[in-house]
Amino acid sequence: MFKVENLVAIADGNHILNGINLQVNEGEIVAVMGPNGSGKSTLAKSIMGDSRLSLRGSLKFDNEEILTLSADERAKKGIFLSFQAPPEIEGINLEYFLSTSIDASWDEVLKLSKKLGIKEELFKKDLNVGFSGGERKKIEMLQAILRNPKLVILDEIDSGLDIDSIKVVDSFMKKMKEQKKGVMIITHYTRIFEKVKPDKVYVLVDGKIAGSGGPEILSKLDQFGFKEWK
Amino acid sequence: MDLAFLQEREKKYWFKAKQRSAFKITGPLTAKKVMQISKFKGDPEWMTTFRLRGFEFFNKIDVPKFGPDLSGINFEDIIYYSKPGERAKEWDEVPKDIKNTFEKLGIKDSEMKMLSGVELQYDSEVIFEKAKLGLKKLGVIYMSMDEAVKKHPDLVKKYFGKIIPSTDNKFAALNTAVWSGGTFIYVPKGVKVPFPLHTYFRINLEGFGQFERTLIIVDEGAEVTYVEGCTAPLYSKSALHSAVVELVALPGSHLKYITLQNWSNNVYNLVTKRGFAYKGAFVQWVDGNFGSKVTMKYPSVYLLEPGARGEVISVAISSDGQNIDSGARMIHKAPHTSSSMVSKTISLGDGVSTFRGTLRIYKNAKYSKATTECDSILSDQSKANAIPKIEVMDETASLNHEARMGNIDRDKLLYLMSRGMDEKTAMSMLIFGFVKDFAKELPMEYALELQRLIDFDMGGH
Repeated sequence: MFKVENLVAIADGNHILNGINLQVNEGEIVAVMGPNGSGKSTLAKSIMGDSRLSLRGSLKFDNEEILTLSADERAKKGIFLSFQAPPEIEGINLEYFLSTSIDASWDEVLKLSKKLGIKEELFKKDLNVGFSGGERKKIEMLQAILRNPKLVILDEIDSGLDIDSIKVVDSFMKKMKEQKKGVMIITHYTRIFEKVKPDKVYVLVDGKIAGSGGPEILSKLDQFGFKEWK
Repeated sequence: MDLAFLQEREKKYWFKAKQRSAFKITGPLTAKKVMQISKFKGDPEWMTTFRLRGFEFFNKIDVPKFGPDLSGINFEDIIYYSKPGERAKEWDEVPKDIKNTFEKLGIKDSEMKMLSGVELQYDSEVIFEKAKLGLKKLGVIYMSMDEAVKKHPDLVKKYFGKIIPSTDNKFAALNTAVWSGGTFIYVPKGVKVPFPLHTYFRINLEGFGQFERTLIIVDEGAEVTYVEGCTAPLYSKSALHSAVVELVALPGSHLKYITLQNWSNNVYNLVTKRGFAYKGAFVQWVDGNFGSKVTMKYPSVYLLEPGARGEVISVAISSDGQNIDSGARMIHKAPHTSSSMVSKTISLGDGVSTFRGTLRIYKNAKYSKATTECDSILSDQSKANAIPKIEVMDETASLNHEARMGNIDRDKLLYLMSRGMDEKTAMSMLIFGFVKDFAKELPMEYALELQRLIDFDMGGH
């Protein structure tokens, strides 16, 4: 469903990604593990279509080349990125933002929000302004479900979450898998995979895939960290 | 600049209509021509004298030495006065071409019959006005300035030119000499006008100068909100809009003055606006600048007695070829007075936006409070300046000043685009969010208009 080939990403003249190859299939959970500064977030933004990055190589989504498409065009094709740090949008409240960017009925939005534990009072507040890390991530998951994409990329979904929120992430990942979506989880830590195991693991170091394999790689990471691949 | 969007804006707001003029005075301006206007308008003698004094100062005073280049104004061949036709008593009697113009601008037939208080000025004259019966019952006077000079000479004489003397600046002097139209409002003691009063200014003639004059007096404990909107057709020849607006807020009153300026990109918009706030009174300017070639406008509040409050919330969006120089002036002349200036400027393309704020706290104005906040967003080649001038002569004053300047946040843009919004929609949303504090001061229908104007501005980029 989604194939990255020889992806090179350059930001302000610096090569951040140096030829990435990876693949995500329908119903598959794929982990991309990497230490700080390995290019994880750049990978996520390259796939989403950040116009500040200059990209080379190939991004095939449903057999279609999407490398030159803008972020909104990619979103419409069915790619969703949950941001590592969803930005604060001053002056635009959550309710208005969702009602203009999402097709679903308002009842559905409210029902799902409740299920995810998003407090009602947040709807009248400016999007993400003063929201906790957990609140922001839940709102990302809400959108990931409502936009019904084919590929969901979660960039550090587990950072800054409390235990309750991690449970929400677990059931979210399960749901995505059940719905046959391709899920790419970009993270630093293995703890997010305690309940839900990935089908495939890639290790990203210095802008390159330094290794790949099954979930067994996770225990190796737990024992030795990223040293092994450096 | 995206041509399609500019054309759309021209079609919606800056369209041309039939050139009509029953009587006009064209430059170069002379004392004789000033007298001709005065005679034509049937002024009382004191007003003729007043105009001539204004003309004298207009000749003596130079154009402002600061701010944008005004050399494109050709004083020699401006049309200083033009009467489009007779004033209509009923909306149905308004000539069809004028009616069409206002209807195209979204001022609908049905609304004209329903609106509680509205005035339409076309070139030099108020062509239609309607004050609902309710207003008269409340004792509110709401009419064109011309009419008020004749019907309420005592009230007018007491304040006209007292808040902004004709010597204030070249354009105030010019306005004094050739003024025509504008609004006069008097709200009696304790009366709270329950709905906003509207005036719509339209320039239609090519090469025209519009010089309306507005005076609003709010008596003790009274309240009123006034909204003005302005547009003009886009001509290659430049036009001049030079209004004088004087506000008087007597003790305990609240006066809110809202402007949505959407002049076409050939208009020099040089306006003097000032309010006097007496004991415990509150003067609020809500000032939106979305059009014009050059704007120079710094609404001011003179805080004259204890407890007076002044507030200016302004937004300026300057796009290709535009230079918008706006801001506020707060003059504290009494103890325990407070003021707030909030300015949001957005510069796009090669547009220039400047915030020019003056805060002056006099020696005897003990325990005054003032806040100034200016935020600017700019794109690649545009320019934004913030020029705050703070003169505090009393050490008991408490001040708070904040200024921020930055580009459109690309992370926010990416975020919105990743949720399926195209770049223009995402930019519009960010800009609308940025000016939210301003938007919430507007009546509902104007908030929608604001959204449209932002979309038009964003559309060009």
